[in-house]
Amino acid sequence: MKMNETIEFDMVDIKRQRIDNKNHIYGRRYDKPKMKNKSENPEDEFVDESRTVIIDSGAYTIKTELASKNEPMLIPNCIMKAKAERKRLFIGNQIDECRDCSGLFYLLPCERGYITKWEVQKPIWDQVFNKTLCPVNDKHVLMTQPLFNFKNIQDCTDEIFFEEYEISSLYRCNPTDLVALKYGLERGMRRETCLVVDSGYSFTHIVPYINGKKCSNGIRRLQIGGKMLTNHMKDILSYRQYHVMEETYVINQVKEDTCFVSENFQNDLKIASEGASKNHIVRNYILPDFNTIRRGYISDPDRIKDMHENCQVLRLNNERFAVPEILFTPSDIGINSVGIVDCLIDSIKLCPRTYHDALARNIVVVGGNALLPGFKNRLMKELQSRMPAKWVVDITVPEKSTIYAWQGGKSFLKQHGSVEKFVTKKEYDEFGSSGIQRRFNEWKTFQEEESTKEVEMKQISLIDHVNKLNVFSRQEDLVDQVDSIEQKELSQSYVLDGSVTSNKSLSALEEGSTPGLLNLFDDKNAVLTPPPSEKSSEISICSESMSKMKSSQEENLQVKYFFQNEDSEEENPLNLDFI
Amino acid sequence: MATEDIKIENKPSFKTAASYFDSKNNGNKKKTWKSLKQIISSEKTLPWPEGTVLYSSINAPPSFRPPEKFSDLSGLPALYTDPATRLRYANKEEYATILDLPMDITAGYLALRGASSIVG
Repeated sequence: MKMNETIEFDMVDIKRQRIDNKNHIYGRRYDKPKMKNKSENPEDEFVDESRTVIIDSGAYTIKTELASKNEPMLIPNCIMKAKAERKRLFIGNQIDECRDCSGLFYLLPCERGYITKWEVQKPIWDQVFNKTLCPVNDKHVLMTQPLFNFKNIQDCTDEIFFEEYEISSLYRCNPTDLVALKYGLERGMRRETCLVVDSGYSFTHIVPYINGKKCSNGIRRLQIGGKMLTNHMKDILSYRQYHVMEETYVINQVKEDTCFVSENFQNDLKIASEGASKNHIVRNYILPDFNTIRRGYISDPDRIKDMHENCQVLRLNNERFAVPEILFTPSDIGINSVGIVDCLIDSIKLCPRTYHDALARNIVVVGGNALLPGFKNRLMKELQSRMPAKWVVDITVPEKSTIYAWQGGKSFLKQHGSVEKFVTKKEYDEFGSSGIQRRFNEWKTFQEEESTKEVEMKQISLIDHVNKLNVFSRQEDLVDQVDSIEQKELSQSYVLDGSVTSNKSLSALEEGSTPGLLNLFDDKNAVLTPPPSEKSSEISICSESMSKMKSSQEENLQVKYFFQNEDSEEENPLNLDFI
Repeated sequence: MATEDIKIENKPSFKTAASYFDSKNNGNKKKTWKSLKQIISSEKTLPWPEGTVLYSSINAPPSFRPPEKFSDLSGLPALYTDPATRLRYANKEEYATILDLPMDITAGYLALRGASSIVG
């Protein structure tokens, strides 16, 4: 009995420690000096590169290789059925063995970028992580997952990797994290601030990073990726020329070979409608017949039908740039969504104002769509015309944009690859999948209060100034958020009366506001809660000074936001300011 | 062959994830995998604290700019719309072909543009 008790006690203790360390915001401060000590002795702390596999699992290709290598293997993340060999399934890279790739039928494990068809994914992983290709058992694994990966998908991934493949430890993060990290290193930034645009197969994500942290509010997803472009190309070609609805594989190659992003869409359209002499856009694409021609190519205009007598020629005109144009104006094919440029601007605007300039200066575009020629120039041109003139827009498109995230994984291992970060199999056995997921999500998540400090400080003094003019009382708003609804109504009536007096509020400011804030902070357990939207309207009903208010409404919202997020420490200078 | 190798090598672990995936042994008994739609809708029902950023909240905002009009047949800027079929066309040659098109193809063209509704 005694033995049991002590063991139980220990377990509880361990759990409590874990929670205290990982989940509580104040815990993080005390962790920092420890980390410094550890990095002094990196050899026994960091994972061994030659025993670590980096897996960038995309919806279209899995990029995987040992971390000690320079470049990953690209393996298609799908099972294919060929018309020529009906009985055989081609899993992943086995497609190289297929001679006739016409009418290839795809089984894709991902649905809009998230793995949902496990019966497809499992055989592919079996193929990729077997002994010959890229063994993972008894190795450390650094894996990527899409943003906002769902819990049951993570559960399943953990289960497969720990229990089926028996890896020794695992770490998962978003590919954009790795991209931001690598970009920051290349630019010599210690805490990178950049805007990562990841335009992949299933979707395009725009993720702002501020001081090395992901700013969750600013993340935007455009539901357009390479898959949609290929499918649209298939559609229009089928109506205009050959019936190619089943030739996904071939049309994807056509897209890769011929498509480009137009820098001036209207102008290019005009050129495309001209006759052959003035039209420099039109191309003849020789389709593969998988007999003599293994892969299609753009034919020389002078020597059509010289080389192959019976080949099929695809004439590509405005399709070449109209297809990638969907990324910029999705409304062309009836998708009610803004294009990538508006998404970018939207994302920047959702971030704290001080960082707008820095974000615009550090845009990095990765993913397969970034390989389209002209993509960078078009983005640059549109962004510059839409942004304030004094801002410098700079866009980086890495040469190998598809494997940039994988390379980022390498720099992650060098920078942050301490053994402690990785979840070992032992820990998985003990806590289960849901127990370890927290550890994957805490690195590089948003901590906006840290970044918004400076700007908001000024705005508060401005608001204070307005307060003195008896326009409204900010303190009562604060009380609102903490206290019950009754008080809320009361204060509302105050405001509506137009008899708001500031003497009460001033005293409340010096003494009352701090405990109130702390309460709020503890209650919500460090979760960001933007103010309910009704509040702002409530205040704006103020009697006389509507015109004055209008200018400061926006700041008012931000101020409240700031108060909710603030630590007690950082608040002190603020109070001094008021006195 | 490779997949079998791995399965033999792995000792049956306690939760046996294999039983989920091995369709031969298991049949259709455990087909509990949800589609993405189900996952998203189940995520929405969870009691998230206010202001949490979720999958559904990061969608790109809708566009307010009216879409430009392109010919359904050639992809060129279209000035005209055929009132009978609602197809857009750029010049009279295209209109001549539209007149000859059967119903199913015009419907296909409209679906391609994402304008299958009559109002489109």
